[in-house]
Amino acid sequence: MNRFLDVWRHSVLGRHLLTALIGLAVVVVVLESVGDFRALQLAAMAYLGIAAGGLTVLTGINGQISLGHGALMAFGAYTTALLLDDPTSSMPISLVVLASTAVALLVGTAVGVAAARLHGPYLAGATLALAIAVPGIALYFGSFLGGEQGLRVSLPDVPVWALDLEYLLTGTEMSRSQYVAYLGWITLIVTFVLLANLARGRVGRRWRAVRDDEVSAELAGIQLGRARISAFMVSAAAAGAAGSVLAITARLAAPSGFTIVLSLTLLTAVVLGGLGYLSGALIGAGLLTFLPPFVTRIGGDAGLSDIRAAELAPLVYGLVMVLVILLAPAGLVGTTRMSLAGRRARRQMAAAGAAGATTGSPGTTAPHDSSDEHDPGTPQASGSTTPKGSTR
Amino acid sequence: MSSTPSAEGGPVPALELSDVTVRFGGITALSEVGLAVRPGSVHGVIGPNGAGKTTLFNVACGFVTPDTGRIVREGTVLDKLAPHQLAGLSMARTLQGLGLFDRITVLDNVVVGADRHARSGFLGSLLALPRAGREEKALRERARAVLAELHIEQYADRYPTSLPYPVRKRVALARALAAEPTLLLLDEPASGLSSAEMDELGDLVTSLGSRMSVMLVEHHMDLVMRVCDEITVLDFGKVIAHGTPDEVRNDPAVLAAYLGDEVTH
Repeated sequence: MNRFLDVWRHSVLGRHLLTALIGLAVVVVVLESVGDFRALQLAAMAYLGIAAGGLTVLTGINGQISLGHGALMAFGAYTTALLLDDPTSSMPISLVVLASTAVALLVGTAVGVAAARLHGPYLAGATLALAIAVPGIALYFGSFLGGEQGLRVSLPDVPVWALDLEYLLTGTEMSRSQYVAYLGWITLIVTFVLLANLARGRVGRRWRAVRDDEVSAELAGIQLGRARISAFMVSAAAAGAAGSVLAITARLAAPSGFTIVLSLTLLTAVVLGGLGYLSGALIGAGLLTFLPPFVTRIGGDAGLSDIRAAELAPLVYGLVMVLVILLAPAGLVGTTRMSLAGRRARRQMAAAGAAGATTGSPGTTAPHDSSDEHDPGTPQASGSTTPKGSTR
Repeated sequence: MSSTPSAEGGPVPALELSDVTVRFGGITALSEVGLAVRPGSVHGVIGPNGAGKTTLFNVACGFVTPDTGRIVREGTVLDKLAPHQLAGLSMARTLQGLGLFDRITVLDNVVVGADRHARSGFLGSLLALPRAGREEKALRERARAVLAELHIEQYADRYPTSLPYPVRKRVALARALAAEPTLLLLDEPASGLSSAEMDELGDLVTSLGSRMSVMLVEHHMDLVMRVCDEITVLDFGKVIAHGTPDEVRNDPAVLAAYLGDEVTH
């Protein structure tokens, strides 16, 4: 147990891998106890989660907005569909996901180079154009990409080792839906470990610096363009992996699946959960996957007609969004974390104050601090220390 | 009056600007300005409002490209100077507006300042390689040491927006010092400080002079006269005087430029 705590405290990689293992255990338990329908829903949550995780790195950590991540998912999905068009194809599924990731990474690099020069609404506009234009590509090259109908994805058979493992563990056969869900969640776990590593390391620190203050970041030796492009590439790669899982889950890659609505859904997931938190992206993806059917069922149980019940979902969804923005403006995870951190800081300050009172003030060179009562995150408003001349 | 201080066989200046002219449209902000920061000295740039002090600073750190003139850093001519190259040239600068990273902790702010000492690349972060981890740890220790030196280590885990202005000012200074520059540019380091805090700042800047060269722009004459080894006085974009604090204090041109001008403290 002590060794465990040691790894947790001192090694970033160790912490992330342990979290991943716990996550994997939860995934196994859940997927073994649900039916095919739920398994496919969970697979959908996985691909939304992967894409939202990539987007939260871009938007939350690097401060760039993208309305075009649905389009980047389309590149991943179509790559998967093209690689899996033959049911007898022997390409391992992991390679298919990797290839889809690589294609989206390439496209994302090109978009990122352009995006690095744009800010705020201009960047939103440019990525919006991507979201609108990309489904058109599939229609234009209809003979190759299947046009409006899209491309069917023929999922290869579940590998024998997976069947064996499943039989060994539970004594049951692994259904295709279960297989797809495992694929999605393992992809999610791998992606999240890599994203979390980046976020905690030097790369993530540089991304945050660029987000918070460009001039200071440059003065610290950070090249703004490079930092922005690398963030865009990483999140595009995640979108590609997500698109691949989507194609495998839906067994289809069609233009109607990658409209602007998908891009906006991803952004909603990220905002609901809390910008910049991977766990928030996952919670957001879960809400978006399970809330609408849940609300529809409740509506049906309450005696509403099917149409009425279906109309209830967007209403509740909108209400949840409004409530989160009003009550938890930093998102569900973000606001929780901030209030915990604020409480901890207050407790520490109170403890330090008590200690200071008994031992006397240490030294005269400490700056004059009157900030005990300030929470992190609240603008400082101390009367005697009002900033002057904060123009640059 | 546009004198370019020559090296006259002495040590190579930490930074030398010569014949720098900057025009913004029809306005000449700097006209054939020259100065040399001797290594290990504290060099002050003063002048009435609008004299071009900040523009000169911005030229020195690549924010403004001069129309004519040369920037020489330790004997190397810098033709095109971009701000992100500053750190690589062992130069650090503080900003009047502080420019702190508000959504990361004080410690992380200072670690960003120390970032130029890091070597690990993208893969190191992506896979959280042990080498990258050790490097991160070393950077954090370096940053903590700088925070301790400035007596603000107790704020390491706080966010800048929750701190009073003088503390934030120290965080900005700590970030610049964490880069371990050999030339430090301080833009109005005393603005917004009480006189007691200014005294501490004076001691600090004097002590920095033994480790690095310092160039500072400042309004508060007391501080400038106390800490600077050399002073360059600008007025209307031109150098009107240059010398030790005593020489500058009694220079008739300086007195004329400041006469009637409100000098606080």
